[in-house]
Amino acid sequence: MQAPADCQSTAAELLPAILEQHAFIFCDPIDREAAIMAAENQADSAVVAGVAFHDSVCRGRCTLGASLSLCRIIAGNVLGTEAEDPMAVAAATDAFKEVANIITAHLLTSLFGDEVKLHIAAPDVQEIDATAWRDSLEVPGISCFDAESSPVWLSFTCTENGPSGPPPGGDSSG
Amino acid sequence: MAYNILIVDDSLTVRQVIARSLTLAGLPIGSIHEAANGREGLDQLEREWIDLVFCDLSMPVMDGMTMVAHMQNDGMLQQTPVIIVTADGSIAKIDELRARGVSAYIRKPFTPEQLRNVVIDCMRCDHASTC
Repeated sequence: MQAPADCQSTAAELLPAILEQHAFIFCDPIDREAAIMAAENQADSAVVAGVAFHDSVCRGRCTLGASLSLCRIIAGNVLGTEAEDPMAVAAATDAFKEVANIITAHLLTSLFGDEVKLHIAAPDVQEIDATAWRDSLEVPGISCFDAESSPVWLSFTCTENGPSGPPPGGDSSG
Repeated sequence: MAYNILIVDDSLTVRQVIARSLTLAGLPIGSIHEAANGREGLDQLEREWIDLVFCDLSMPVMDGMTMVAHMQNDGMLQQTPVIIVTADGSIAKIDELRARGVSAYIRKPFTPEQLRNVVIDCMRCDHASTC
């Protein structure tokens, strides 16, 4: 099993569709410079969420980043409340973590088909400050988007396992 | 009859969305219990009378596949319907879960209507004991 070369473009199609369906948010691809400019203007902290996956042939990771203000909007929309609502503020990081989980799973199905049985780990998440958020937009290989006038980025990596097989102690989650 | 529900998902947001969808759907809900992983879910099943379980697959501590396997080994799957709610689209995994006795599968993201329809189907099957 190999990841198609156009996995970034598949991801670029999926992210807007999932964000719209799951959180009623419209987003469009933008270039890196526009994303950096938007991040500098906002000076907001951010959330980075990632999901690792593997099987006997390959392993990889899908990672997404978004400003904390966008995460609050996502949480508010999903929970049916306003972004400023304390419930949405408290759920912002968790809501974005779930977005990463959904996008990764759909991306893997799109890339590898639904007959494959990949081990998909529970998502991990971290909050980063405004400087780290701006710097994260400089990382090569990311796809950038605009959602609610706020940047979002997505990174997808997939490599074949070496002769020793999958990583030791790889997650056993389904 | 009001149904006692257990929602097992590591995302608090998802647990809240499922609980809210069930309430808004006008289904006869008794109490709603929550667990953040399969281990907590099994603990709740030992403590509480649960009529229907919603279970995610990818969770820390104990994933949904392992929780379902424990339920199967303990004979709980014959008594308590389990609906898998996951973003994972692997047919191989779903087939394995169905073979173990899982009642239904909903793929995230889902609409409240999808959730409601699956619950109604499960309740109908539960009453008829023919599904």
